[in-house]
Amino acid sequence: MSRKSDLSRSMVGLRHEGDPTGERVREAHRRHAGVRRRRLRLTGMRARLFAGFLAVAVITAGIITGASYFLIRDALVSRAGSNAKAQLLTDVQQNGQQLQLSTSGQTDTSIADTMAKNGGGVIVLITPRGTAPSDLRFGNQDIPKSFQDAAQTQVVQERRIIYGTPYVLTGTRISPNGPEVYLFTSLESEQAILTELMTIGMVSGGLALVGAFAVAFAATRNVLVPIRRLGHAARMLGQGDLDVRLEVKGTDEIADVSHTFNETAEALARSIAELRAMDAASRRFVADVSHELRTPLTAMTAVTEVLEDVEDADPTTVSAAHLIANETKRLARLVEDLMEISRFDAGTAAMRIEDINLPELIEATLATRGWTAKVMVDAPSLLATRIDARRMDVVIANLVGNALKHGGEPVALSVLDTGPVVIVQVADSGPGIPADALPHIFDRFYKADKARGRSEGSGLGLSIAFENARMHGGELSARNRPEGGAVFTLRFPKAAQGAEADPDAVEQTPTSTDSGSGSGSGSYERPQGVSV
Amino acid sequence: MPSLLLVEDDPSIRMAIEIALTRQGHQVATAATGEEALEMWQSQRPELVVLDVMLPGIDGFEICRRIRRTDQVPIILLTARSDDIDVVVGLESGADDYVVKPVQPRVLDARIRAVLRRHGNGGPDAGDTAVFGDLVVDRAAMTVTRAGEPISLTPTELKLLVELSRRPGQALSRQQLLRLVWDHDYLGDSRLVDACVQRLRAKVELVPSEPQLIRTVRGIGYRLDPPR
Repeated sequence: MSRKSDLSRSMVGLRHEGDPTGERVREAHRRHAGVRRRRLRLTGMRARLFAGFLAVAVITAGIITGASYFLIRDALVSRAGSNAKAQLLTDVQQNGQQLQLSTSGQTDTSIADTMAKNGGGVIVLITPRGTAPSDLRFGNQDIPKSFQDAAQTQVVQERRIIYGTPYVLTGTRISPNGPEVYLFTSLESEQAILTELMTIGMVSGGLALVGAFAVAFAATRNVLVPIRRLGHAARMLGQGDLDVRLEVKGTDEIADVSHTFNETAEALARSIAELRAMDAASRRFVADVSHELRTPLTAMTAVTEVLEDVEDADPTTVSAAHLIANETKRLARLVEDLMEISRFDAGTAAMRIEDINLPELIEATLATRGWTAKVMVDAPSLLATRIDARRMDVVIANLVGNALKHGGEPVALSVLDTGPVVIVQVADSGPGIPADALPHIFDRFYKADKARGRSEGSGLGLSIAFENARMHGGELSARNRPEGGAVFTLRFPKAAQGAEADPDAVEQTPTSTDSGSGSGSGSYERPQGVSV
Repeated sequence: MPSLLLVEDDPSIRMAIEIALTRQGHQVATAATGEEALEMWQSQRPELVVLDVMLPGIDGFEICRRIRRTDQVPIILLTARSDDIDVVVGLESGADDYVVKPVQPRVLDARIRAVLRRHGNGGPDAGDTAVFGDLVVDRAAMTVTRAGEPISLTPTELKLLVELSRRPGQALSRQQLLRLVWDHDYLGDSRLVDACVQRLRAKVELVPSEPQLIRTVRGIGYRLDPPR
């Protein structure tokens, strides 16, 4: 029967009331959750799945394009190389003799032109007479020394880039000390093929990317929608909707999880129902016990005065009689408080809202209990409220009684009108409430001072005050003042919501209210004869 | 010595309250069941009935209604709790006041005496009569007539009407009426006033659902007006 369980129970109760405010709040909450859920998080599953799919597409396209590029390039280059070599050898065979017989640079050049014309490419001849190129742009400078050295004894080949164009350079010496022949074969056509291949690779890579995007979208939808549904259901369950269940589709992992979720929700609903039943049973038990105690207590209370008036017996009997009389009163108070608490727990506590001038009620509360002289009241003379007079009386009496008993005089009570909300503060001049007791001060039977095993109160007074404040849509809190002493603060709306006590307020029209001679409409008339 | 009839089914409570009331100087007769209570009421004609609500057989409300059909004897209810429907039903059945169990004998005695005072109230303002249309409140003779026909009111209803008639056209709050009529303090139950006003309207108004005499003043209380 802890307050916590009581609070959560009544909160659940509030939700099921279906009042428009609570519904709105819940709706806003849901919307908020939705926004948070749908926003694309960089670390979210959707982003990661997308990144994965796209990476696979890009890497695959890259590997395929790159591999084929290199393979084809090698094939093209080696083909071009062997073609060049074959051509050079053919050229040398056809023109070698003529070249060896040549005696002038001019002849050399014309031989180079012939060779170039026959086979294509550019021929550069190096003879003892000098360099004879078929294309004047080419010359000695394009043939590295190391290559020339290597070409003295064999046919050598090398790839070179001249004026930005790739060439295969093939070279050899016709005979020892004979003329050297060099062939520059352009790789431009091969280059064009490779460039085209690259373009095709890029385009197909891009297409693969688009395809991957589409696949990723479908996949994340298929994975994320059930996960989102699961998350939503879990949230609903967390908010107390124990009837939420998931539709189990297919036999995949998601279906397994959904199935597990349903089983868990069912088990949870079952155990909560059991707990509620047990809780209700124990509350009922307390209510029943209190009720049963009341019958003998009524009889005992009726005759306590007989015991109180016992004076003529021996002193022991007098003491015993007085003790029984006092304890009977205490027991009666305890049972009354228990019954009040069990009405709160059962939700059967009813509000009776009336038009009440709060300061007048406080005055009456203090006067009834003989506290008028002990409490300094700082309040306006008129503060119209719509409250349950009996419950407010209980709250004020419990706060002031607590301050007088555990705090110490002077006790100051102040009433502050802040428009829609009324604030009542009860401050005492005692030692204050120990810090570790502060959070439990409104718990049932909680005693801040453990040494004080017995008290006059039932130990339920502040609990009841707390519940009554809540019944008014208000709140009760406690704290220690910096300058010493405890202060209890009660806040409640000026017009509490609840059952209308005025049985025929509806039939009264404003015109008939105004027709009277004495009272104007809306003006509060102070009751005569009540001393204030 | 005023004679009371105490109706209570639990023997211990019955005996205890009888002891307490006797000590306060009342002459107490007791009844354990509703049937017995009605019988005693007929034979003994008590000046006041203290009536437990929860009775086997004929319950307290039914006894209240049956007595009220012919008799205006003051009735105080003994009820289990103050904020439940029992109080409302009891007051609608015609009870004058109620006390909550367990009751302090002093409180019960004070209520009894207050109700009995209403009964015998004739005194201070002798000789004046208030007229509201065809309703005449004779505060000297403590009688009320409507178009010359006497109206039978319980002492509480009569007292309420008299207090309202003393301040014609002036709104009286429920708390004021509680004090003036019931001798209750500020924290008394205003449902006593509302229930009594309803009963009074049923007797003095031409159309009780559209009161022309005893009007509700919203946010304040009630007012007695001459009809327009």
